[in-house]
Amino acid sequence: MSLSDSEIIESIRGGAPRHFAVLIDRYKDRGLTLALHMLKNREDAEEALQDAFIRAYNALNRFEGASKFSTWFYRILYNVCLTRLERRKRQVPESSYDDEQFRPGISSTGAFLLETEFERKNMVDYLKGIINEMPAKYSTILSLFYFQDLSHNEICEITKLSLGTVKVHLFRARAILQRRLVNEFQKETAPSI
Amino acid sequence: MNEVNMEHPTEITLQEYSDRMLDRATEAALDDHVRLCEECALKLRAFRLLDEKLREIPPDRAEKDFTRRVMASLHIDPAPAVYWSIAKYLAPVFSLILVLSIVFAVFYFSGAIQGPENRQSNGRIWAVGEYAGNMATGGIKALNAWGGKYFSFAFAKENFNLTIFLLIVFAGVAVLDKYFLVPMMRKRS
Repeated sequence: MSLSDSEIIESIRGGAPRHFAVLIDRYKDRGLTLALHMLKNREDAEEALQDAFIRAYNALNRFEGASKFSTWFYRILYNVCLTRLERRKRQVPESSYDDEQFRPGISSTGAFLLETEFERKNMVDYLKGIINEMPAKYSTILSLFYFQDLSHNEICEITKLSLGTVKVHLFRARAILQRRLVNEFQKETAPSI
Repeated sequence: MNEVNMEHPTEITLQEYSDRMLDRATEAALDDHVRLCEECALKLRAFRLLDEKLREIPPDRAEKDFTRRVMASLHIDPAPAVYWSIAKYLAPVFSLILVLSIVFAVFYFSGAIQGPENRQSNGRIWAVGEYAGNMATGGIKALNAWGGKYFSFAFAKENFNLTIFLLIVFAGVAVLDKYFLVPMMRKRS
């Protein structure tokens, strides 16, 4: 039977630091997914993840267990990635989707197209591609909700955003996905002249 | 045209309905609406399909040696391999058995606990044991001769021979343990 996060943390505090490897193994893949959705670059994401684990280890004595370890760790990782994003923004301004250009919603035709075309083999890869092109603020919330399986309230705790903002970002992220998918399906199903 | 309130919910409300984020009253009202409004039902199905597909996406995989790299950055020895975890506990047991076997062999073949004249043949197992015993006796005799040649001081008094021989063996085991086995175990675990 595998140990719970809090049992592992207790054993690390009790003098078995090597047990931290279990926590790394447990959260490295999901952590990398979040970092990738925020930073959009594998090398940066791995560095940020490593940095987050080091910070988490050094701050482990300050972890009081009020929230889950995963929430606490994702908060550290989110902050590390945010700092990197801000540093990067100062160098290269973000150029993708603008809020002004944002047009949410899909038509009934679009919804029908989604329903009929969804069972495509490469859908997972295709969705990953769209998420990767999304602005970080949307893909981050999407990642926390779907890939880390967190509730709206936990996302608020990690990002320190209001519940309303989290809901809007999540809605917009999904709307971007829907519109991009509908556009793609429309292109493919249009009769060739 | 049906009789229900056909004022469509906003897409964000419909999405929250799909996420089961709405209060019970609003959810009940939407249940009714979606049952009768084909347009909203279609959108809801599309939202749920997208949800399903998003949850199917596997997480990205970190590099194989990622954990080792982080542990190295923290200057923590990584977790030992399974066989070393077992070997760590087996090694002291084997050492103890080895030392006890040497002590027993020395006492036995020197006649301290049972004289060779008292031995009686007791079938094939005893014969094998006797053969092994003879081999060991030969080895110990050779060791004695070697010890007598180079460590004659230790054999000066008949009564102290065995004691000194055992002290040398224990000292050898201790040195081997301290400078070879333990550092090797520490390095691997």
